[in-house]
Amino acid sequence: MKARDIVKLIDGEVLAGEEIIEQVEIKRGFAADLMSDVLALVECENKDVVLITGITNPQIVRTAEMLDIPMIIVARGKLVPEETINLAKEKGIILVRTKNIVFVTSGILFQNGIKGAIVKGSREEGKSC
Amino acid sequence: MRIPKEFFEGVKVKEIMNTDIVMVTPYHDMKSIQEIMRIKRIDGVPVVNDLGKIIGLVTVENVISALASGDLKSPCEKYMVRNPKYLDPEDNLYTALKLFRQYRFGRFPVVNNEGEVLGILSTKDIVLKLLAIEEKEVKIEKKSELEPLILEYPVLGGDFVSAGIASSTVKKVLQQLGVEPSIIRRVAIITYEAEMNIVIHAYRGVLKVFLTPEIIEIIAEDEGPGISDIELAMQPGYSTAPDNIREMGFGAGMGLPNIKNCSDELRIESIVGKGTKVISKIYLDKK
Repeated sequence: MKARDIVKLIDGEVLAGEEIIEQVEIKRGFAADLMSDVLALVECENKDVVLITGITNPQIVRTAEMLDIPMIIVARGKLVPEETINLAKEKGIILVRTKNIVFVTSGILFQNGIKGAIVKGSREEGKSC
Repeated sequence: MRIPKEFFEGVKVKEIMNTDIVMVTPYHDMKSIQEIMRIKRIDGVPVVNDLGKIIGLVTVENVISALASGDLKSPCEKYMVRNPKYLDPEDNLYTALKLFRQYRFGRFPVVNNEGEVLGILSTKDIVLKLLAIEEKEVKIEKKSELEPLILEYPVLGGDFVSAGIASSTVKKVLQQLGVEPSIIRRVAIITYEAEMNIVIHAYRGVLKVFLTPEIIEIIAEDEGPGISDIELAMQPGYSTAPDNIREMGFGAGMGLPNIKNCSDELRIESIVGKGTKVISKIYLDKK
């Protein structure tokens, strides 16, 4: 699904990355407030994962950058600090805010065919990460 | 010997400036800047505002003034050179040298039209450039074969604004070198978690990455409280981080386990009250 369609589905407000929103294609999603979990579990070699989170500090953008995650959704309509928005712009990552809570946001995306993003194998297999 | 003016005019500032720079905010104390200068062997540190635009420059002379007043704990805002003179990346070396002669400064920040610092040009960089004119091509080729590539970045405890910059730079370098994406992913996770550990727990530290065709070695060394029970710290979910760290999405006791999962070999050395050293190895030839 195009990033643009996701924004429409969740009634989102685009804070950064407007210029690439037509190109980015999302297939899978991951919802977490714990960035270490994102780092441990998400594999995004095809740059097709959206991260849904309730956290707003710049570390969400850094985490996305480390894993090549192209899109972040901040749920519950939280105020996103300027520094987070600026970092997302600098790194070319789509940053969207929605009034929906994490649960509802995830539900909407799941209903529309977005699958869970998880690394091949599990944490226990470790080395495959 | 007199070098013709045309030679200097043919060299652009952006080609010889040092781009391996560290930037700080006005709130950084002089002590940590002194450390940055020592570790990185540099004599000027640009000060930027929240938008990343230059507002000052801390020079080694400023550090000496603070030292003489026994005032290293003060924020650098107090001692930095405000609105420093700077060079444009497109300036040529002749223009730069005239500026050096006019002001007698040892270094100038290189700043683009948006006010962003791209590098620093010091007299040292210029001297090295002169030396490199003839030897350049031969030398560099040899070097990449024999010596490991070493990347080194200082990390400041409590500096959540810059946290992640070192890991981001490492990732970019590995991408430029054409390292396999699955390896880059593992290095990125290790460096980022290690960097966050220093920012969360330690006073200051250094992130080093050694790269050879066979192995990538990541060393994160800090001065900090140390870890009293390493085995316990390795347990998923064990954490000593305060709540405000958890609100940032870290500090849930997954850092070291994450690092371990991505490493082929991991060693942690720690002395309570002194600091911690995390040494992670990833083998590249392993299939």
